[in-house]
Amino acid sequence: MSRAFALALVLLLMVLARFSFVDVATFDDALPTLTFGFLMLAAYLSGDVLARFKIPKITGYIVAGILLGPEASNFVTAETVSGLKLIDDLALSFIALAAGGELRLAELRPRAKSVMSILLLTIVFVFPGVAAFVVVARPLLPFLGANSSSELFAVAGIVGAFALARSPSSAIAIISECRARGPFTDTTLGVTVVMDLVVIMIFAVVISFALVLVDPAASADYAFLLVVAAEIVTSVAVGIAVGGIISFYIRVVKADLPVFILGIAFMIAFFSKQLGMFLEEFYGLSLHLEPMLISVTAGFWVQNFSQGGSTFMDRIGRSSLPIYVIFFSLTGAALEIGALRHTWLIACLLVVVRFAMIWIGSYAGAALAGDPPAFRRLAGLGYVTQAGVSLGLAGIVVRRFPEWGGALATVIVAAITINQLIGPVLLEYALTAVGEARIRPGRRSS
Amino acid sequence: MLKLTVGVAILLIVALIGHRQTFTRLRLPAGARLLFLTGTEFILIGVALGDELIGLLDEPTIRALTPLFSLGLGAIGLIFGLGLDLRNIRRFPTRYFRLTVIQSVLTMAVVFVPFWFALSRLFDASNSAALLAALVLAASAGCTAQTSLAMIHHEFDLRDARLMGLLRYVSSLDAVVGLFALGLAFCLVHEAPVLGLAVLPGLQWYLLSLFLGAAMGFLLHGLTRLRCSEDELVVFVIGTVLLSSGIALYFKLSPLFINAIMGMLIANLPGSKDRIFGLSVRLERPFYIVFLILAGAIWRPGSAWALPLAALYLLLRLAGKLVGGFAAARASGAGEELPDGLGLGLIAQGGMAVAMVMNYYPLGSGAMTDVVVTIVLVGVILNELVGPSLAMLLLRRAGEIPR
Repeated sequence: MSRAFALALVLLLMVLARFSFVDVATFDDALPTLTFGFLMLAAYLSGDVLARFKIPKITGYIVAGILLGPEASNFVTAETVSGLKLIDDLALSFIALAAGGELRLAELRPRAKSVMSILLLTIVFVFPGVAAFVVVARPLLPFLGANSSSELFAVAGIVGAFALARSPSSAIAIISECRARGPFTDTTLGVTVVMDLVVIMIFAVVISFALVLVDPAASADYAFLLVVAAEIVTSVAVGIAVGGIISFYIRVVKADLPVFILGIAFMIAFFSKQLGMFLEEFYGLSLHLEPMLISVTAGFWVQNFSQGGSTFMDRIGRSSLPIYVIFFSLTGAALEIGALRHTWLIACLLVVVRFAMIWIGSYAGAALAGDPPAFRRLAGLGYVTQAGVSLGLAGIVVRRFPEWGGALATVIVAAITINQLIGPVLLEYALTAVGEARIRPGRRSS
Repeated sequence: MLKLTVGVAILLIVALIGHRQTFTRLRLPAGARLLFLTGTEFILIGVALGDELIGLLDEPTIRALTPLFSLGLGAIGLIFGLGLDLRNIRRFPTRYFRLTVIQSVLTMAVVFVPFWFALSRLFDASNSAALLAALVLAASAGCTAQTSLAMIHHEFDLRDARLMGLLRYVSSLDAVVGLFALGLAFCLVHEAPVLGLAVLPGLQWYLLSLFLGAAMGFLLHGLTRLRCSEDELVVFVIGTVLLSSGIALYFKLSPLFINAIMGMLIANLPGSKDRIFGLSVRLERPFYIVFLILAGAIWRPGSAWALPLAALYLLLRLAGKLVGGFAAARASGAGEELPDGLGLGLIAQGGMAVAMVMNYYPLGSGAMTDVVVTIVLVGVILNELVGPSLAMLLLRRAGEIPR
């Protein structure tokens, strides 16, 4: 059976199930299960069909999610997407555990210079570069209207901070899809994960100063900075504890490890939810950072400070594909593609400027570290994708700046949507071009 | 919150370590070992994590985890169906098959009639709801745990023992009758027809169930027949099981039955059935454990009637197995070769019975549903405890294991 035909069959089944028995009493609590299965098959088959055009499969899953989601065909309704939130969180924890596990100190140490210089120089170029673009592009941001220039600078700083955010989950999914290994891969993953941490701190600083710019009577919100710092420290500490528990389990029990990892992912999601609710209630802060950071730290700990690293990665690897499929198709379904309708011009320009700055910064960073010319040219292609954390940050902007935060968030979400679509394509191209991808685009894994 | 999280982590680790150590170090009685072998302790962990105790798996969380629950349910059906390769079944004498079916039908009948009567009178439920509940109890009563007999078989090295061979054959197949009854039970409560014809709507839904199982089977068969890597196989199997379970539950049909039909079809088609079976066996344990934990978490005792009815269920099932075994041995023509009390070897109930009642749980409502779940879970746990001893008693009487 060809994959395209199978896809058509799955779609037909879904149409029949959802729309042909209108007079029949149904059990609507089953919709998340139905949607989960449908999305898994439809998204995987779409990814497989698109892979023939050398498009990464995860882009296929995201595109399938968008097309089947609430903003397009509505096969997958907004209620169902929110009904699958816990499954999505479990998948995120699982992917982040894998991302942490991929960071091997022995392989990262020789790349430390590259990681640090690329990190530093992308910050140096991207943050001011994108901020400057926002100042220049003020006419394209109608919500600023006659607002003061201090507000313009606040917005510019926020957008600049946003431009730094990356998506470790997308990076690890592409690396896994390509079975990529090598110094370029290690550097890309290292920079992406560390940047996810750094960007939160930068964002917290920028928000604090932006509040003062918008309202000069206010003082800098140091409490906000402290809470963010405390959240990061807590997440890392919990991650180390979780890593210790996993290592202990692998050493003593080993049996039923997938169930144990699922249990751990569930507890991370539970802990993050509780912590998020607490921070939201008392500090108006919900970064959605914790599950990612806890899991990455835990995976990193197991890989580098225990004997169980290879067992851990082997078990995670065996069940990773369905998790990627469901996670990225749900990401696609949750993307607010409608935001692009009104903001496509500024969003596209933002994407282009951000990409240019990332490329320049990465090139300079790689050159400073003495990386080979091919690495320098291609480094910037690895850092385009954006997702989870960026969306969480957008939510904070809405709450902190009620007058124009919503409008700004729409622009940011539109840019994130584009980056999420093109980022995987660019990263896969880079991994293939440097020769570290063991499976070329469009080929099936064996 | 931190205390709670750490508490749950410790609970999980202790349970899993205990589970492993049980097999490597401790020598527990056969019944207790069977509890661990079948993973029944995970039901108790689920109870501990549920709303009644720790509260980590509260109702909204369980609802959010419905896809995992349905996946476990569907996977149990699929694996059971995959074991039904007609060529293997035909290797045994036809009278064995007759015996299995008659024994199962009689056991179900002995449980069904009194419970239909009792549930209709004790609970404020419609006639069709009581019928469904009684059929679920009957279907679950018909099942026999294969693990119990496998454990004895392994322990006494009974490779050439005829009675043990027959008991293992019966235990591998007697849930088929219950599954078909369960599939029918869910269809009988449908009042609206599928095809617009107002005749026998239940039968129309039954045919739709069979069609759906077959369609999903052909889909999985087609997807996995050619050029399918191991990773893809995982996606296709999980995706298909979830989709068929989702459609089944959405239309208030049985995911267990529909996935079993899907598995049965794949088992009897050429293609990648061996790969699917191998993968399913690999995935079975994690799915099953998650399923049992969730089953424990949603377990509510129901009403004061739960325990007396559970006792009645145990007695009726025991009677049903004994009467069913006796009558089936005679009616099938295998009576002379078999010892009396054949049913004693078929008491351990196993995971399929839990799956059947959990299949019923999401679609039921009210105190009667909770009571039915309690009856089966209590029944399974107690039957697992005494089942191996009774089976060994039978085998001793037949001279297959030393006295």
